Amino acid sequence: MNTVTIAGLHKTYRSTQALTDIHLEIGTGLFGLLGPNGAGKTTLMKILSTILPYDDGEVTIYGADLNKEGDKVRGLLGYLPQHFHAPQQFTGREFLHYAGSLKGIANRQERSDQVERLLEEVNLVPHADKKIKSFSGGMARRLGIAQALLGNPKFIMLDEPTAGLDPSERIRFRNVIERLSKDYTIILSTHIISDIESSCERVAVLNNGQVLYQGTTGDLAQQALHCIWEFQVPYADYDRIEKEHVIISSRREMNDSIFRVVARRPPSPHAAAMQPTMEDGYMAVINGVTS
Amino acid sequence: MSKQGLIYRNELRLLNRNPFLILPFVVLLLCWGYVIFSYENQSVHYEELAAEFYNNFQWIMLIGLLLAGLLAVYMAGKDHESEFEHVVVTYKVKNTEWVAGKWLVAQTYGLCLTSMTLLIQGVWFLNGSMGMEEWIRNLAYVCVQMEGAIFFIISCGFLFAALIRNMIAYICIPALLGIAFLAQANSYGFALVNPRFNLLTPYDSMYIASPYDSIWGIHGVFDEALLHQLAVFLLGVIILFAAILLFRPHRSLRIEKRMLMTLIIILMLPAILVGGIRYEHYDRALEQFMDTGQRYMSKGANGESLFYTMPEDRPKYPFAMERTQLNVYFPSENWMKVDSQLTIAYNGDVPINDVSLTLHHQLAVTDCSSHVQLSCSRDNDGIRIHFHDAIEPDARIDLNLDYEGNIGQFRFDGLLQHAFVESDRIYLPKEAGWYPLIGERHLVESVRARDDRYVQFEVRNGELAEDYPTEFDVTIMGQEIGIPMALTIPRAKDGSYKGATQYGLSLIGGNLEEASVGQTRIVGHPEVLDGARKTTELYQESWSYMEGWLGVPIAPKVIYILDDDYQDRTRVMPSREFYAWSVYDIGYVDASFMPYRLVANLINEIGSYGDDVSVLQRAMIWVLLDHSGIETGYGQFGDWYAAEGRYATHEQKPKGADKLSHYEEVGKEQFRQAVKYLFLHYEGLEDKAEFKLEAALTAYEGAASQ
Repeated sequence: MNTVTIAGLHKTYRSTQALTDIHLEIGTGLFGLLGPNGAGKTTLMKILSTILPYDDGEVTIYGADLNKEGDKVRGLLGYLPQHFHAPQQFTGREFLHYAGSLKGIANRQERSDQVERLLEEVNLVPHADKKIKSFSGGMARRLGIAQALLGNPKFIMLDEPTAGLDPSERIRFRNVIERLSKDYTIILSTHIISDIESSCERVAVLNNGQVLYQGTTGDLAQQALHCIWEFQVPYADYDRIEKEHVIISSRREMNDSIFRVVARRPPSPHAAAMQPTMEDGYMAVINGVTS
Repeated sequence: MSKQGLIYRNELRLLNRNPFLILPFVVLLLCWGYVIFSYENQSVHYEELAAEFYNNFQWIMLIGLLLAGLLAVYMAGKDHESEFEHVVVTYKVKNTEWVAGKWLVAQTYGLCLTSMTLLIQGVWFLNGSMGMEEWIRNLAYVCVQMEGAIFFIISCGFLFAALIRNMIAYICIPALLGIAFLAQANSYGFALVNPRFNLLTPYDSMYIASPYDSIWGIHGVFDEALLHQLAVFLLGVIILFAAILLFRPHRSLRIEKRMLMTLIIILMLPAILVGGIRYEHYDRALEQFMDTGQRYMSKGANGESLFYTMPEDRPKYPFAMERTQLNVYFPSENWMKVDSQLTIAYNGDVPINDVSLTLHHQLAVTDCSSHVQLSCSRDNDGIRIHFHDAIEPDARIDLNLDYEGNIGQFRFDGLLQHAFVESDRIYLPKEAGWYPLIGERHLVESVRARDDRYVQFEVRNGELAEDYPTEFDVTIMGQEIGIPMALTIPRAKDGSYKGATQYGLSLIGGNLEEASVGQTRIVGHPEVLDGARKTTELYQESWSYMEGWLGVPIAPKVIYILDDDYQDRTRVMPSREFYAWSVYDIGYVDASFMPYRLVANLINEIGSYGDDVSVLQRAMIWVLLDHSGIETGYGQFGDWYAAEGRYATHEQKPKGADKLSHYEEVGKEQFRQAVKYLFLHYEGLEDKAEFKLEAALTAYEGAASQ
């Protein structure tokens, strides 16, 4: 069942068309939002989180019209922006209490329980009484995740949540949202495809303000079926290959370079067809080279 | 706790943890510390403590406003700059709660700045000579002025931050204060273009230089300041609501928008009403002043040149006011009712039917009668009395003249009350024409302005010098006025004022006391009386010397210590009986400058009377400089006179100066006697322009040889 429906969404910044005719249907669980820089992911996230108004279209979240019932939507919302900055003079615990109160958790005991649980979940208990200005980038990010999850929001939007997290914290984070995804709708916007690959069931790819793909993560990989090739050329040809093909990856072996490219036809007589991954599918969609 | 309260509490906690928070308090404390230390360090005070406070309050308040305004922009914009706002706006928090919560924190901070100023003022004013009621009134005035302005500027800060989401919002605060400052700058700012711009400041600025007026304290501005600041306060609330409406308007709830719009409309009504009343009050004062300027406008170029060079000299009038008895009532604010009995002496040579009196045109004559048949007519300030039977030379006429009206008068674009009668202050200078003066007199002189000022004219008081003294008997009736009062004649035991004076009458009432030095009464604010007494004692020695030398009374009978703006308006009426001194007159007494001031009281600097009068004036100064032992660097009067900068070469200076110098070569006493003769000769002239130095010296030599 869809909890978030977006139909014909348009957003313009002065003369720049940021989002064009966006149609998305998102249900309970983890939903990945992929796209290069400037694709419109953050704009879409800001609109869904009621930060920005939009020009046209219809958006409903858990049945509430975003345009008319913004306040109701905010009651369902947990949001972590791309750049999260909490007031530096607060301690981590103070800030979460403040955020919890603003989110409407009026009962002090309930708020304390939630704050302590989230501090535990994001591994900030040892630092909870330190001023935020002393936090590292990763700690501040974890605090941001904690504030987004305060108040048990039904609709959670996380913009680049794992940026700056070390691998162990990233795993911890994945586990937390994995658990939450059973009951809630979570939109994950990220550049890190492995985060989406490991967590999300469904994904949308945005580029230039348009939705190029939406579907399951598995189907995204299939977008590049028969279009992924690997071949080996002398290292001296590196520049030529880079100009002629969409390269997904390359590595050097002795005096040769091994390229993984996306192309409808074999880029070389010796090129070998490869089984596509989600990253291959994403590159194929972005570059318009789908099967 | 409501979310607004929650935001307030947490934002206040954040602000308290900001180490830079204390800086504005330190700045204000240093400013006031310097002011108080400088004042209290003086052994004798020539200016009231409150005057010193208000002289500095204005610029220190501007610093406070700047700091509070910048803090408001910071409070409103800090979370936008740090992007924390991007998180908060996704919470279930209303725009009103968020903006108003932070606005309250800024207001609390502003209130602390005001409270600190009030604390400093309150403690410092306890050292002054004011009653508890006045002490409270002064605190209330500073509170409404500073807090009202801070309240407004903080709301503006929030509005700027909502409209401009970058650093330019900060620049708007000093820009706004700069505009406000220019709006009140009467000499060069917007107020020069139109003095009504004075009203467009976040604090009441309807005064000249300082709201404090010596013996009248802040009573003259208090009521209007309350009204002004009430309008500012209402405007501040409206601006806050506008700032909330402009804060991310798409996320405002419909009910929130409606409520704010409704409140704005509701608040605009009293704001317009109060602002309108304030405007109307000032406009009435300005119109009265403009009427004064138009009414007394000089006709012709001659009048214009005389305006700038000297008071218009009035030809001798054959009538003299021999006796004036006044019973004065003050039934309500600025309203006066007077029953007068006048005795007029006719000193002319031929029988005459008409006598002219002068009384301010706002005072209507209710009775004009005598034991002889007469008829009275009015033309502006003039009262023409026509006697059916001609008045014979040396006759005395008794006249009953009753009048009443509003005596309130304004000067300086309506910013200065020139005459007023209120429950806590009175000022009725002679120039206000509040009692009948003999002859047709110009109470005011007015000419076309030479600059771009709005009113297009300049005014000054008329000369109003009398030819003969008058015996006055004045009774202030009723008990409504409970404040100390003083007249230019002394108070008798029965409470009335009795005495003969050639100067006339100026009535003052306020926080005043009297002291005496010799025969001279000094009337002023209790805090400056010591200083005034010391200065008078300094002059006393010179007055005595001059009286011994010239043989004419020099020491004044009474000295009023007035605010500079009021003292300045008495300058055109030279009198040896009455002086009005300002704090500058009593505070800055330089021995080398004193001879100039002493002589200026006897002979004005009169360019149009020619060089001969100037030589006489300088010769008198030279004698006084010599008496005081002040080194000029010149041995002879002629050399000193030439070196005063008036003449490039000795040949250019008037021959009279050299001729006068010859007496000095004979001896100092001969020079003194010659100068004395010249002065008395000058004194005796009806038309001072007829003074001819060489002719007078020739006459002196003739008289001396006999």
